[in-house]
Amino acid sequence: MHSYIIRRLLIAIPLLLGLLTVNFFLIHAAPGDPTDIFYNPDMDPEARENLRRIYGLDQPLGVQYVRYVRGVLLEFEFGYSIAKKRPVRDEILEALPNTLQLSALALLIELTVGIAIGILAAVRQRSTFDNLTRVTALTFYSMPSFYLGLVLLFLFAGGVSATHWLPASGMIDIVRHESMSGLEKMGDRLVHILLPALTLGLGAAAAISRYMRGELLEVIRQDYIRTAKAKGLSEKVVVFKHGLRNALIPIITIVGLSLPVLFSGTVIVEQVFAWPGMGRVAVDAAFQRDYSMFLAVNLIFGTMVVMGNLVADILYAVVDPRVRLS
Amino acid sequence: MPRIARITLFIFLLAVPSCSSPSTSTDSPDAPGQRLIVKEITPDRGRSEERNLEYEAQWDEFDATPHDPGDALVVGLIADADSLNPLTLETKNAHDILDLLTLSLTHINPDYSSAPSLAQSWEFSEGHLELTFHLRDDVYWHDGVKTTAHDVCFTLRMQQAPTTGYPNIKDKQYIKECIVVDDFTARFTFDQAYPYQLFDVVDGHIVPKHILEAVPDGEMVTAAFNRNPIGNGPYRFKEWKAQQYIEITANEDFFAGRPPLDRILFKVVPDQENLVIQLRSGQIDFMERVPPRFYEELSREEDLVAHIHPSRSYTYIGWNLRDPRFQSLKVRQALTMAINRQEIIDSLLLEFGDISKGPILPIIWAYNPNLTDFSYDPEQARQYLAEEGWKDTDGDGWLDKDGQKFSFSLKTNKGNQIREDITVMVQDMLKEVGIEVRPNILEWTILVNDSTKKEFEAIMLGWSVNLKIDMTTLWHSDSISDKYNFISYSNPEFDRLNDQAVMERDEEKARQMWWQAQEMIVKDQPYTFLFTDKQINFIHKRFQSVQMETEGWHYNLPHWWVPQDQQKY
Repeated sequence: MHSYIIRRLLIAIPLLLGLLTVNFFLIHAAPGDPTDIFYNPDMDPEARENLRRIYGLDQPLGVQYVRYVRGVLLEFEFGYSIAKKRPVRDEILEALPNTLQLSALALLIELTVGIAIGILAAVRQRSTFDNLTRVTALTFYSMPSFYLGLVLLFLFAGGVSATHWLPASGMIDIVRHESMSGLEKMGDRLVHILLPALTLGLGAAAAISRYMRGELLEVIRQDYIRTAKAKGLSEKVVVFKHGLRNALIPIITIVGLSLPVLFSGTVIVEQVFAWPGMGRVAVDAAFQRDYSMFLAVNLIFGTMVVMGNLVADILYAVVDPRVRLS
Repeated sequence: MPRIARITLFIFLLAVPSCSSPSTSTDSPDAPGQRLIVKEITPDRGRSEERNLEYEAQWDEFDATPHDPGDALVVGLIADADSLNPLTLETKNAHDILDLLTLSLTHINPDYSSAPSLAQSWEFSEGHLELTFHLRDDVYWHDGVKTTAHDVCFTLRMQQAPTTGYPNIKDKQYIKECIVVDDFTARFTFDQAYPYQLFDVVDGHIVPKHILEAVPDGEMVTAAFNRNPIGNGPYRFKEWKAQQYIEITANEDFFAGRPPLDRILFKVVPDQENLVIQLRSGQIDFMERVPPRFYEELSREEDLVAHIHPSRSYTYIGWNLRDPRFQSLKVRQALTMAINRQEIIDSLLLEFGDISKGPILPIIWAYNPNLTDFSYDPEQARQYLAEEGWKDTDGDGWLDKDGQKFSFSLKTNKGNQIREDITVMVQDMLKEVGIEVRPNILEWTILVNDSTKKEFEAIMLGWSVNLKIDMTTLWHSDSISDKYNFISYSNPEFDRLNDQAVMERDEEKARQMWWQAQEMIVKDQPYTFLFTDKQINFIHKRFQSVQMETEGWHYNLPHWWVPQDQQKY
C-alpha cells in the first residue's frame, strides 16, 4: 500500500503543475488588470505603473510564469497579493486552517446525520419517518447553499427578531472572546461554527441519507443477511454488524467525490457567514484579479481535492478487503 | 484626513447610495454650513490661528461635558482594509481606520477648512513659495518616541519616491522639498505658487521615520508595518485578524486627552444582508452606507439612530462621443430629457437622493446654483430626435435613420443593485420615445477594461467628487488618450477655462470660471447626470456626542462616549 500511496502522490505533482499552468494563463487571459481595483482618477498613472513594476506585472507573461512556478516549487513562495498587500503565503496560512475546520465539521455533520437518517429510513421502510425524511432530504438537497444559509441566518441569527440565538458571522465574539475562560472560548467557537457548518453539511447529508437508505435496503436483501437472520441474530446485530459495513463501501466513494463539492461550497458559505477562510480569499482574489492569490487558492483547493480522493481510495481498501491497492 | 477626498473608490462604486434622514434634519445643500470652503486657497497666519481657536474651543467644550470612559464600538465593514500604512493604503475602510490611528498635519473641519492637528499653525512666505508648519511638541508615536519635523520631512520624501508606490504622488509633484528648521518646525518649498499648495502638503498622514527608514527601497508596499502600524493619534493599533476584525484601543497618552471609548472593533462582514441583521440584533453597533431599502425597517428599531448626510458622489450615464449617434448635441439633450430622473430617485433611492445637474455637487464651494438643466420632457425629446433625422419610418415603434434602428447597449457593473435596476428603468423610459436600450451588466474589471478601451456605447458609473476642483482628468481633451475621459469629451473652450481655473488663486475668480465650465458641460450633456445620493448611517443609541459629516462618519469619533449605566461591554 505504501508504494501505491507514494505513486499516487508522485502522479499528483504533474497534475497540480498542470492545474497551476492552466489557471495561470486563464487568469491572465481574462480582461482587466489587478490595478483596476484602484479605479481612481486622482491616482497618478505613474504610481499605477510603479505598482505594476513592484509586483512584477510589467514583465512578459512567460517571465512571470517561470518566476511564479520557480517560487512555488523551490521556496513554497506564492508571491505578493496586490489587494492585501502582504505575502500570499501569510494570507493562506491564516485562512486554510479555518476552512479545514469548517469543512471537517461539515463532513462530520454530513456523515453522521446522513448515515443515521439513512439507516433509520431503511429499517423503517415506507413508514411515516421514511416518507418524511424523503421529503426533507429532497428539500435540503435541492436548496442552494447560499439560500439555506440565509434561511438559517434569518431563523437563528437575528433576522426574524432583534434577539439572536446564534451569531451571524465570524469565528469568535470579537469583543468578549479575550476575557473568556478556556471552556467559554471553546463554546464561543462552537456557536460561531454551527450555522456555517450546518449550511455546508446538511445538503450533502441529505444526499448521503438517500444513498445510505438505498444501499442498506440493497444489502439487507442479500443471501448472507438472510443467513444471519436465520441464525437467529438480532435485528440490531444484522443491520449494524453485517449490513452496515457492506452498505458503507459505496458511501466512501461518494464522500470522496463530494469533497470537491464541499470545498467549493465553502466559497459561498464563507461569504454568507463571513467565515475567514479560503472561500472568502478565493472570491476576493477572483473579483480583484489578484493573480498570485487566485493561483495559490486554486492550487491549494486542487491539492485538497487530490488528497481527499486519495484518502477515499485508501479507506475503500480498508473497508472492503476484496479491494487491493496496487 | 484630506486624502479621504481622493479615495475614489472601488468601495463607493460597488456600494449603494447614502443619505439624510427626514427626521434628522440636515441643512439644505445650499446652506452655508454645508459648503466646501477651500480656505487653503489663500491661507495666512491669522486664519490658521482663528482655526486653532475654533479647534481648541471644540476640545474645551468636550472637556467641559461630563463623559464616562469605557465601552466598545463595533463597526461593521463590508470589506477588509488593505493596509494601515499611510504610504501604501488604497481603500476607504483602511483610510477611515488610519484617521483614528495617525495624525495629519491638519484636520478637516465640517466646513472643509483646515484646522490644526499635528501642526499648531502655519504660514506662507511672501510670494507663497515657502510654507512653514509649527508642530506641537507633545505628540508621541505609540512606541513612546516623539513626533518631530524629521518625521514630517521623511514622509514627504517617501511620498515622492516612485518606488514607494504612494498612490497620490501626483499631488506632491509641485513640492520642491521639505526642510527641517528645528525639531518642531518644517518648511516646504515650491517651484511655483498655485491654489492648492496647502492642500497638497497636508494630504496624507505622517509616518514614523525611526521605523520606516529601515524598510529597503521598493519594499514599502509589502512592509510588515502595513499590518502592524505605529501611529500617534487618539487610538492605537492592537490587532488585525485578516478578514475578521481590526481592533484599536484608546491612547492614554494622546495630547488632547484619552478618548472615552476603550476599544473600537472593525468587524468584516462581506454581505449587506448579514450586516443589517447584525445591526438589528446588536451584534454590531454601527453600519455605514445602509442601502435605502433597509431604511424603513431599521428606523423602526428603538435602539438605532439614523445619521444622514449628503454624499460627495454622483451617478451618471456617459455617452461614447466617438459613436456618430451621440456626437449630435440634440440627441444627447434628447436622451436626458427622455429619462425621468426623479422617478428613478423616487423608486430606487426613496427620498434619499437629488437630481444632479453637473459634475460639481451642491456641497462643493464651486457649485453653480444657476445651472439650467434638461428636465423630463419626452415630447421635446421626440422633437429633438426628429430634427436630427431619427423617425419611425417603418412603423415598428422604433426610431430609425438611414435604415439603422436607434438601439444601443447600456453597460454597468454587477453587484450594484441600484444601477442594475436603473438600466431596466432607462430601457422602459427610452422605449417610450422609440429608442431600444440593451442592458449589459458586467463584472467590474471587465467594465473597467471596456471603458479604458472605449468599447461601449453608453456606460453607467459614479464618481466621488474631489475637494480639490480640477476637471482635467475627466473632461479635458488632453485626457482622452488616458483612462478616465473614456467618453472622449472635447471642448477647446472648456479646456482653456479649466486650465486657467486650476491655477487661479483668487477664490472668487476661480469660482466664476468653474461656474462657466459647469454651464458648458451641462449644455453639452456628454453625461446624463442622474443623481447625487445621501448617505444613511445607523448607530446604536447609547453613543453620545455623535456627529457625522460628509467628510467622514468618524469625523469626531474621539469625542464619542457612552453613559456608565448604558455601557454594553
